Amino acid sequence: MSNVSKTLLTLLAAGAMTAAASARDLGQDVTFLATAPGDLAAPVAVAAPATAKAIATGDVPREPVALSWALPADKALETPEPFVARSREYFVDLDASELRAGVPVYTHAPGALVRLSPAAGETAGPIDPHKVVLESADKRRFAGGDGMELIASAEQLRAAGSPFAVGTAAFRLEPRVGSGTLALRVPELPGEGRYVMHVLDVRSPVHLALQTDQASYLHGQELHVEASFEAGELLSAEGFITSPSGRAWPLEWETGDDGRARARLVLDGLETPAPGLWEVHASARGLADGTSVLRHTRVAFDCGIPAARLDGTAEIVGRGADLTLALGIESASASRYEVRGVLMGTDTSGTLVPVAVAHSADWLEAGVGSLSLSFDADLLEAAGVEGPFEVHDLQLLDQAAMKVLHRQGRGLLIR
Amino acid sequence: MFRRALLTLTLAALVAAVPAAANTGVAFVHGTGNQTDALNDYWTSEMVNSVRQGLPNQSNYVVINCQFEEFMWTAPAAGCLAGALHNFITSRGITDLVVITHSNGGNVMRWILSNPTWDSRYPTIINAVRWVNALAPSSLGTPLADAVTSGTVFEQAVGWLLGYASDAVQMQQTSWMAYYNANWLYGTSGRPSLPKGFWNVVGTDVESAIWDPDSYCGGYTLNVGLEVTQNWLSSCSDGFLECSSQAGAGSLWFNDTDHTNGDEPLSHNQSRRKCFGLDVILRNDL
Repeated sequence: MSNVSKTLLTLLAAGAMTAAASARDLGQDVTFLATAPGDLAAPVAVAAPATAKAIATGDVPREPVALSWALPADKALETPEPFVARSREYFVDLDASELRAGVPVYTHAPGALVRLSPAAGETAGPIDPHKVVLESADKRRFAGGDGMELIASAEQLRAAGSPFAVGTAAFRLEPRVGSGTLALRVPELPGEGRYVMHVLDVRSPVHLALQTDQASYLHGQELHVEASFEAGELLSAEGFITSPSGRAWPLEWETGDDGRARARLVLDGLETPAPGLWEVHASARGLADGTSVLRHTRVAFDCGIPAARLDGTAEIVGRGADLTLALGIESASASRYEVRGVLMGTDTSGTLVPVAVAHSADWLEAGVGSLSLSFDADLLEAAGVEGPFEVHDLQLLDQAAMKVLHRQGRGLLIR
Repeated sequence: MFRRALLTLTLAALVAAVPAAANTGVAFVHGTGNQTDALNDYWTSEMVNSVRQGLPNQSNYVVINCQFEEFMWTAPAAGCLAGALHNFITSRGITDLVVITHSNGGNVMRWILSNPTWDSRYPTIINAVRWVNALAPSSLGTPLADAVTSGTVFEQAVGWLLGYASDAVQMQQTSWMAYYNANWLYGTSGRPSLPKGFWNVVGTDVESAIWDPDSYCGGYTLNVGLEVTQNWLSSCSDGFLECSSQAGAGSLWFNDTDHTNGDEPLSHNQSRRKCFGLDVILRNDL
């Protein structure tokens, strides 16, 4: 992309934002559409715990802020699917005595990467890869760096700017070491410290895939999660869920006839607020080509307290050139709330196309209130679209708690 | 005929995109880390001084120093960046701002562009921005962050939450960035566009041959380390980020080897330094 092209595209976008406005028929009636499967909506607003209120009354801005901007009509928008985490790696907790005696290393393909780190909070020193003794699946012995390539000391890894734990060392197994269940020993390792060994089966096609059924949940909703092996047979799975504040819940997994392991949990989102996301942690054992395979992965999601909800009312405010929609909000706790949505208009072929996105946020006290979502007239004029309009990806967000409280693929119909 | 029309439109664009009365400025936004002297410690003055030669008024530049070990939305991260940019814009009357980000700095800038109502300073910043030149942005996260933060048993899973890895590293795990991209950030595939352009420069490889002088630009030791970490990544990477992540939000400006001197790749360390003509490319873009 040349600089000239960047400039041209920028100018064209700017032109869409600065065209002269004129009055046009923006419709008279706005209707809240029914939620559909996959939407996030709270039946009632729930007061946030006192701790959440403490955050909400801290350094959170109180002034209203709103902005809208044009979207290209030819760029289709999609509802994001929950992320699928895929892993070829596993890790295991070890103490120094286990490493001295020898531990198995499960590999499906030659060339695995092995990483050895002192466990978090431990004072154990780094392991020198040259002190590691390897034994292949057919009992050949490799020592003094033999059988390893691309050996990286703790100093080299830190120099890369990668924040591996202090003392982490790594090496790649030479292809001639082979694959299968290998053995790793550090016979001269001193002390009784704890270590973590990570094995990345980097050339194996066998992945553990992990996916939740939604990306965002509300307190009290049930999460469903599914784990499966790609290019391998899953034999067993285990795992747990962690929340941002550090709570954890074990998961009960059931493996179906389709070879997939599933678990569910009703989420308890009432906790001391902490930044960050919830996670499902899963590890699974399996078989691939007659070889034992071990994998671990995690996938993030979020769970919020529905401190407010869209109450299902909406009206067009004013009759100027702008399109301004007032959305009713029922709030159980004071906070800074935001509504956002994508305006879709009808083009000359009768197709709904993106026109603009608008955001609006303000401080709302507990009770019944509203937020206005406004699309500038010049954006509507430049788009050259007509009604009926719809508002897609309609969202209500709690900015103080940084949670998604409502998300609806098709939210409003404007005729 | 089409080419003539395009040329006419292009020339009009060149004249009109930066109005004659525009007061152009450039901001340098660093990546993960808490910086107090990013000019010398992160970018180097030879890089910054070379780039700002493209400004009509070469004093219209700012080098950001913020705490990007924090989550992108926090006061020490986006709040600090917003404060610095807002002050730069208002105190110098900047009407045409080019923002140059590196790595996780792209995420913090994209937070501001995607969440204009979070802070009353954000709309002023968004309105002043011409575009963002995102050098190796970690838009889709990196498997290295996954590897760094993977704990083991219960207490360690909690342990890293309490500071084993920084918030910024946690945030750049691939599934975390997928969540933020799908819910709080714009510009990735299928999501609404950002209000201003976000143009990616993608680093595609790392060279660290001891006999190759190109390996020494930006620091030989750093490049050796990046060649090691590259093993956690797909075949196209700059040693810290996969190409797909670097091109995961906004629009591709160019892949390094398409425009650098000698078609040299830019490692993750080199894409913030005066290496292989990158500084001149950025200068000519102002």
